[in-house]
Parts: sequence; C-alpha cells; structure tokens
Amino acid sequence: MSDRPLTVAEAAASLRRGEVSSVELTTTCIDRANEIDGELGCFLSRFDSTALAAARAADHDFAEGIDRGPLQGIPVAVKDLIASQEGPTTAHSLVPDPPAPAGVDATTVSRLRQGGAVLMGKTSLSEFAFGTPDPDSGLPIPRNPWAVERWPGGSSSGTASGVAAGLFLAGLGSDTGGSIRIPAALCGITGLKPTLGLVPTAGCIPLAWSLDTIGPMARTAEDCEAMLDVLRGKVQSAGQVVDTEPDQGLTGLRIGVERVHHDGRVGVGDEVVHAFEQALAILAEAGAHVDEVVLDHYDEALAATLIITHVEALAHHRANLRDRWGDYGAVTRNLLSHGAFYSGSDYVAAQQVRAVVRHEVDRLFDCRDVIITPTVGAVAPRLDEDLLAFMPLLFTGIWNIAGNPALSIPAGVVESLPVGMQVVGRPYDEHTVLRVGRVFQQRSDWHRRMPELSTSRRPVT
Amino acid sequence: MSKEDEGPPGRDGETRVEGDETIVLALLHAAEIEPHPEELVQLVAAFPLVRARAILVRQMNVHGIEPAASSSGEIAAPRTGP
Repeated sequence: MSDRPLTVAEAAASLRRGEVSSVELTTTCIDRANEIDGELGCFLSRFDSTALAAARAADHDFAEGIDRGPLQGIPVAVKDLIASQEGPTTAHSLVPDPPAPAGVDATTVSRLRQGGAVLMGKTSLSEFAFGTPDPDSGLPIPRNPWAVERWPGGSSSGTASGVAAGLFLAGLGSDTGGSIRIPAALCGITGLKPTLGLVPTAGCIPLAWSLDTIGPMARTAEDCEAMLDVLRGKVQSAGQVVDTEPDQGLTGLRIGVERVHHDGRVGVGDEVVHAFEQALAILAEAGAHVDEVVLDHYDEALAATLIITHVEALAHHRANLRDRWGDYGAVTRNLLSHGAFYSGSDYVAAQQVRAVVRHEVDRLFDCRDVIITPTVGAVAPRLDEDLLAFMPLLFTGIWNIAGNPALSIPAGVVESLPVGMQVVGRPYDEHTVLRVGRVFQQRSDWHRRMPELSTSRRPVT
Repeated sequence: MSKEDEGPPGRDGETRVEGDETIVLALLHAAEIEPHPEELVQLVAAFPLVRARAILVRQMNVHGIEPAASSSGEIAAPRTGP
C-alpha cells in the first residue's frame, strides 16, 4: 500500500494482480482505525471480526476464480442510519428507532455484500441526520481529519472523515438536503447524491420521506461510479473492475454555471470563489462550453426544502418526541419541533413550489448537460462555532427538491482546508455527472491530497 | 403580505412576542410536544423565521403547475418496507 490509501479502482486492480489481499487491506484499515479513530469519532460501531471473515471469503473467491465485481474485497463503511445485520442502527441517537428487524440488512447493504464488499462498521452522523454534534449525549463527536477542532460536515460525517483519513476506501451516506455532498466537500472527498428514487432507501431511518436518497462516498468519481452500479442493482459482469477510462476531455459538453445565488451570498469567502473559478477553468480547458445560468425562485426553493424536511421529519419522530423528548439532543428536538409550526396548506404550497422548481430546472437543462456551483461557500467551521449559522452557505438543498443527481468533488484548498465543486445533471444522467468528475480528477490532484492527521500516521503495509 | 400573515394584532413588539408565544404553545400542544420551559424561548424566537418561510412559499405563483411536472421524466420517490 502506498503512503496514501488506495482508491477503490487501485485496490480492485491490485487485488486481481495478487499484489495485495483483502485480508491485508482490511487489516490495514483496522490498524489505522485503532490508531486514529479515537480522535476522529468516525465509527459508532466496528465489525472487525466479521470484516476479516468477509475479507477471507473474498480472497477465497479470488483464488477460486469467482469475481463479484469491483467491490469484491474492498473495505467499506455505512452511515449508522442504514440497517446492517451485524448490530443495532442508532442514527447517532439515544432514542431507539430501528429501521429494520434485528439481523436484517438494508437493501443497499445487501447489495454491497452481494458485490463482495467488506463491511468495516457503521459511521457517525448528525443525530437522525438532522442535529449537530452533541457533547452531552456521551456519543462520539465526529471531527474533521484536516483539522480535528473542525466539523467534518453533516450529516454523513463519519463516512466522509473515514474515507478522507483512510479508515476504509468507500462508504454509504444519505442525502436529504446535502448530507452526502456537504461532508464530502468539507473533508476533501467525492460524494454523489443519485437521482431521487434511483437507489432504494428500504432499511434506512428516514429524515424526510419524499427527499431522502442513499449514495456513495469515496475518494474519486470513478470509485463513486463503481459503488453506484452496485447500489442501483446493475448486474456486474464477471471479472468487471472499475472502468478506468482515458482522459477524453469534455469537448461538446455544455456547462451552465450558477453564480448569482452563490458567489455573492453574504458569508461566502473570496478565496472559495477563487478556487471555484479556477476549478471551472479546468473544465473549460477540457473543452466544455461554459455559460451562465440563473436559478429562478432560489430562495423559495430553499424555503420549500426546509418546510418539507421539517414537516416530514416531525411526522416520523412525533411519537418519540412526545415520549422521549429528553433523549433527543437539544438541537435535534428543537429543529424537529419546527415541523409543528407549518400548516397542512404550507406543506402543500411547498410541494407546489417543488413542482415549479423542477419545471424551471428542466428548462435549464434543455440546452445544457450539467449545472455547476460551489458545494459550500466556506471551509469547515470550528466545532465551537454556531453550526446552524453555517447553513445559509450550503448550496445543496435545491437539488433535493428538484431530484437531480448531484456530485461534490474536491476543487481546491483554502486556508489548508478542502473546498468542493458541485456538478448537477439531468434526472438519471449520473453518467454525465460522473464523467465530468472523472475528467476533472484526471486534470487535477485535489482528490489525492491527504490530511496531515492521516499522512503523519502512515499505513503499516 | 396579507393581514392574516402579519400575525396577531399588537401595539408593540412585546405584545407581538406574547402573541407568538401563545401561537407556538398552541401548535406544540396540538403536536403533543412539551418542551422544557427554557427551550420554549428558543422555539418562540425561531417562529418568525419559520413563518417567513411559509409566507414565501404561499406567495409563489404556482398556477398551472401539475404535480411532479417534469419534461425529462417522472422522478419517483419510492419507499418500500425493509
């Protein structure tokens, strides 16, 4: 293994060349977690023994000539609101809310297993994908490997920090308003929110029933594509590994860049804007045609996203809020209570706004292939800052009510901290979104940067 | 903004906050939510922002829009049991 953790593509190739075994990969990840996870708060539960057993099974299959696809033998982790047969699903909360009977996998976890992935454990998150880190709960505080006094982003915090720090090669997050893309941006990794409905959410604790998505988080767009193929249930060809395509550029691709509601927003850092523009220039140099777009009704879209999220979240948590108020974190129960402030007609109005926004977004895609924005307008905030005040700088929620696939890729470093660029495509056109990410990563090295925390404590192999 | 959206009548800010607190308490009660007293202050403080969001979506013209209107195909939101 090199100084930096392998990507899924690199590990898949090494496994098939016999240069490394799944047991070696898994053992390295376990050692790494033993060394640094006490500081990172990435895992809520670890499955070391079953992971090693799965790794041995993957190695045995390789030896027998059985190849289940690009994830065979690859160490992965899953956000702890997605059910797995190994143990309870906590949603990083003291309030029990099992999404599936004991011993049952969520559909996505089942598909990872069928693909031969090695499940390392379950990762930390914002409580029920909604709160902020709560020091009073006694549960781990997720920390950013680039600066442990900072937030890794949420809500898929542990999956992002674990990939960034090399505790596993890829993982699952969920995204209702940006919960895959935000931590991906703040931790310097790649994360994809698939088209709403593409990846099954069965066995996942819901946040907002009509917005939730499950998607891949990894070091590269190429790795996310390999994960997505498995998650969506695409049948893998025997022996198929990650499809490493040569850089074919982006000639003919039409990019719409949205600056109006991003660059000028209060609190957006000049250096973040500068990094975004430099990243955009790389795409233009690759042959893409770039023009400016404006998202109409942006503020209405964000308001609708919040209304739908709050109302649907309260609908799920209502009974537990009544019976176990004190077991929720203070921020979580406060936010959940906001759902009671909206009327039924407000909720319907928000869904109507959603339909308008979808229609307007569709029109923008009539003559463009992707829309690009910064993912977040600032670097990771310190954990002792007011994290709710950070929310207006998150540029992700509109794509949840629109439903489009949206990818965050590392696009620069500001003040020694990573920033991300968001690539949005037409519904079900993940291929184009990931192609843009792949070409960008063939022409940049932001996704290869490692935080000091993990480079100073190198893998043992 | 309509008269209805302006909230309960009040001659000064203090009266308005008292009005908000009454509404917040009623809404929480209807939802069977019983916050700690100190948390009620935070919820009352958040109420105007929440109301502003609701007004924003209520004011948008959605005439002629049909559910799930999408020229590039219906986006489903399926969820089945585990």
